[in-house]
Amino acid sequence: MAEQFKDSASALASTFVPSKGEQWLSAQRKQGSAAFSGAAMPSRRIEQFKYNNFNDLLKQNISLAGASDQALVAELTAEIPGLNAHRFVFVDGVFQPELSSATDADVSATAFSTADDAQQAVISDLLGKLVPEGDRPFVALADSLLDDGVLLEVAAGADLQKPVQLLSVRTTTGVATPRLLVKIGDGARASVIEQYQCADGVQAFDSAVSELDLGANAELHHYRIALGNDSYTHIGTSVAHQGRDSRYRAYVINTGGAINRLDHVVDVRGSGSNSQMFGAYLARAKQQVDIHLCVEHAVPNCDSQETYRGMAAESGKAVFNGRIQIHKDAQKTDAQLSCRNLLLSNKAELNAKPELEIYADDVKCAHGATVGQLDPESIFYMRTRGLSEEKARALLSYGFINEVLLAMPLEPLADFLRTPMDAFFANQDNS
Amino acid sequence: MSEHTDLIEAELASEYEAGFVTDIESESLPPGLDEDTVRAISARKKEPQWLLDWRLEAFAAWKTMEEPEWAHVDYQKVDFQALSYYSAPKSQADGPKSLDEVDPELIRTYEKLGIPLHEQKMLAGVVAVDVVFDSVSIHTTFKDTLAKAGVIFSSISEAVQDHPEIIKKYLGSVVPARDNFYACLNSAVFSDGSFVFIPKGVTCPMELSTYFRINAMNTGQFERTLIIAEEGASVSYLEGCTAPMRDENQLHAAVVELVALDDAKIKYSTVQNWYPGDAEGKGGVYNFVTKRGICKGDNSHISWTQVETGSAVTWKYPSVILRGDNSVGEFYSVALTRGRQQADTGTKMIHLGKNTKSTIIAKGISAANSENVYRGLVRIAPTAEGARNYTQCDSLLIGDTCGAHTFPYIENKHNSSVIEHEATTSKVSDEQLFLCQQRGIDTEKAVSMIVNGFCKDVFKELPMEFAVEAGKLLEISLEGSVG
Amino acid sequence: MLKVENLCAGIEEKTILQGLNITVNPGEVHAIMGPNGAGKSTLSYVLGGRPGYEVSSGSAELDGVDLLDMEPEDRAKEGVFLAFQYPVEVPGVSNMEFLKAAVESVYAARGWDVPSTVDFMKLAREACAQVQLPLDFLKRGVNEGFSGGERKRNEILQMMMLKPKLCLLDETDSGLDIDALQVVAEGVNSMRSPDRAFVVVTHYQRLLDYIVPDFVHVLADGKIVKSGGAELALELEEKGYGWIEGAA
Repeated sequence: MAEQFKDSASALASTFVPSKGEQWLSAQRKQGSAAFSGAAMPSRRIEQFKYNNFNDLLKQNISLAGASDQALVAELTAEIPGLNAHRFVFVDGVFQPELSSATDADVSATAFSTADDAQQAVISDLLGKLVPEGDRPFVALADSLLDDGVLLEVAAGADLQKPVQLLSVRTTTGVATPRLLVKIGDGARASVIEQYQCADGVQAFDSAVSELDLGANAELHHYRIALGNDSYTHIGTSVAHQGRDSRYRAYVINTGGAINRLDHVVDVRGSGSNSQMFGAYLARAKQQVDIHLCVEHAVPNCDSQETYRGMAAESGKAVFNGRIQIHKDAQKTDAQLSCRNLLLSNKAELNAKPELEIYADDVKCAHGATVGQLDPESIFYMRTRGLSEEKARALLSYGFINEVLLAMPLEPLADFLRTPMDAFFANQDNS
Repeated sequence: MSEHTDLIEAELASEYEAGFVTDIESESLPPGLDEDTVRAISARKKEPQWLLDWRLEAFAAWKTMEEPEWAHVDYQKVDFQALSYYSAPKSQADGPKSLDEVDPELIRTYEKLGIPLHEQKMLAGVVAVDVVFDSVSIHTTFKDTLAKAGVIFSSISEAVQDHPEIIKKYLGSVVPARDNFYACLNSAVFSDGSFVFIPKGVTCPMELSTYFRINAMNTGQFERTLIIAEEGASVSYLEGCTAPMRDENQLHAAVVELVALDDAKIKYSTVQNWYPGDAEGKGGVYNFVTKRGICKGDNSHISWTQVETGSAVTWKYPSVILRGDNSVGEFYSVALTRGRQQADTGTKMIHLGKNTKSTIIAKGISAANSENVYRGLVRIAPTAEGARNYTQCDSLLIGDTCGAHTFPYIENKHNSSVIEHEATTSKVSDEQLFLCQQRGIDTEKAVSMIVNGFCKDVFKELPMEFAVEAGKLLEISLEGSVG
Repeated sequence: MLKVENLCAGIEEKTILQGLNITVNPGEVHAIMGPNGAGKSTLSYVLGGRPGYEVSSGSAELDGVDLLDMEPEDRAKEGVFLAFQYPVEVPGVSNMEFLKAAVESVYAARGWDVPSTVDFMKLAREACAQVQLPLDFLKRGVNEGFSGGERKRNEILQMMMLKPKLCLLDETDSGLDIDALQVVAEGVNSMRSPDRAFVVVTHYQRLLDYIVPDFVHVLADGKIVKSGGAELALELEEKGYGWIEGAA
């Protein structure tokens, strides 16, 4: 069955012509094609896909995204009130300069298709280099069908006042491979929003890859939002590479999706660094959400905190795999992971696997994971104050996730996200 | 029955005749594994046809299976054709003739554990006649007491002859022959092991232990143990010896099956201290064991406690299938690795029944160049209304060349269940050591005190004399671990 | 206002209340005292509608409306307020959101104007001041990280906002220091009015120095075994519960 998917994707790659026709990334595509044809397709027998059901995707014939639906484009690319961001918009995998905003002196954003020689050199130099070794069929697929992308460079020492938003929307079926490269110069500070969404009912498939490089003493707030629906398959890979004394904050939201999966790698390569990850993953209906987090502590004197909240309602399936690896030299690491989950229906499924892999002794590591339900005592308490049971449940569920939203410094974005959250909690049938 | 067996034996005789090295002192099969080996083992043990068929079926399945690979275990693969699969108890001629011939390192360990001289001889394989007599008398005394209570405690081989209906009913009922590569191999070639049957309503009057069953000691390579507690029965079983059993067998692939019916309780404790190999990782036992219990009846209770300090490579996950409503599964474990030892151990708690409860307390201590892995699964099936699990797994690292890893799998399919998992990693801190030293305690003693404190939650689950010995065992194992 | 007749109730097949009778009129404050295990908290929970408590016989009516068949939130909408002995933490949901949702639900049910956000904020601020909780408590999660005293004051704050007909205070004095006790009592006293009634459940007489009851009832073995005026509480304080239980 997986052959259908693999063969059609390989065939697609062999005749692939990028939307702007440029050839200078063809070596990357060839490499991707080779890796993809050598890669095993997802199955339950493969540890990293153990809890996923890719059957629906794997029996598809992969084709490129067709012409976009302009009416949906306008709706999906509406600005987030109060956010005031530099915007870079992709529609069905194609960069849209006319929907994107100009940048200022401190931040340069370039579409791969319009890169000059110097920028092409930077892109070639960085692209794919941060993704760790290992079997990553969807990264290989994205490489093999590499189309346009955005290179975002923040000058050393710059302190960006406006967040930078990369918005990728889907209005039509087929595969898209939005790509983002971020280079935060030494001592610079920036907020980057990576946001993926899809019109309801559109059977779109994304293989999105982002690579973020933090220079020494840089600070990046990385918002990675994938708002799914029942028809959208979004598979993302995001790798942050931290230089010395850098600070990385990630806010990850995965809601819904036929499959909505993120492989998130935080590669701590510079000592004195701090990493904080917050995440929420929510599934209802027959959705599958999955966060695979991997924090690599390769150097000493770093700390990381991971706070994740998951929820599976109706017939939804939620997966969290959080791995903290402390390499031999990473003495004095302090890594703490907390993962709490709510299982709201008896048809839903929740799988959590917090892992610690430790090769250094002078470290403090802990993880905690819970799976449970809304506290009946809390529900009763709220009902004695006049709230209906349904309202009490919705408020409690919301409170459970709210910790992640409250952690976001960008309040307009958090407010924007409360709408999909409310929709998620409303009218659940958990019988 | 015996006529039947004789017939089979006669029929088979011609086939395996060549397979035997006839020796008055000891009878053993030459190295190698094929269907004839399986037939030969079964025939030597005068087993009924159904058991031979069962073994052969397992063997056929095993041939189609692949040896598993584990991400965190690295060892030289076993050459299954180089092993001998049957050996009658060693005669005196094989073993060391006096304690002078025994590895002095081993003698030193015995002394530290405070084991009496005649027991030392016995444990080292210097099977002195008086000790045999001694143990036979012990054996007989307790056998009478047990018989009065209606408890059956014998070797599996005896039970196959004496209680075939029970064996037939339960053998492979918890760990099916095809369960995994090593369990499958065990099913084909298992040598011997213990059989315990506690009838309805009986509380076993004493702790049962393989310690008493010295005669079965040398049959450990493919041990098979089966414990059944009928309705309302209870038993506490201690496996292995409190002393470090010196065993030169390279591969141990044992299978242990526990069955608890309504309101029954089985407590199974293990202290394992097989040869871990030398500091460079040469030699040492591969301990690939499948242990599983089923809480078959309502309100039943199975508890595993293990203290693992030996073996070069350990792969074992004593598990509980919680099928009866309100049943309880527990797993308490201390795993200490040093030298180049590798331990991949943990448990599986499979919740099927309503209001089932499981508790997992796992403590891993890694020193030197060892690798220590906790791997566990908690699965709540859609039928397990009101299920609860609590897991606490802690790792302690001594030195910066070892590894400590935690891989818990949590799978939940019932929305009235609650699962809590916590894991921590720490080291013996310089402050703790300094405090002890400042109070006049030397470093080695201090480390052993701290480690014992770390393991307290597990040791308290062991029968008292076992707990004391387990503490001593850790102390000995930790010697030289701290610079 | 509240009429409880021959109430038998319990939890998990264990009957705790065994034929309890009590009538509370508007404007009155009733104290219910009794030894541990007498059924004091059970009475509060049964009237509040806590799931798990089973009523086997008897009735409880508020102004002629049967309470026992109602969902907890409907009782709240009828004007029953239960101040918990152990107020629950609701992490992630701010006090403000929670209060606003409660006020909107209860006010609408009782036919009152639902206050605008501005008016609501004003009311909340005033109530905060009255129970001496700093304003930032409104932004924090419900009872999240609150001390025992702060939680009890938060209960009184909710009571002030919801303006119930019948206030059930379940061991509100437990775990309070004298200052917090005074704040709580002042809050309660400020709400005493001719059309509101209080049932104060307590083990100790201490609270009743501050909230002076009109009637005191002694609950033992699931029944009211003695009733009297405020002086009964003093007598109990002096003699303990033994003499009453003996008499019963």
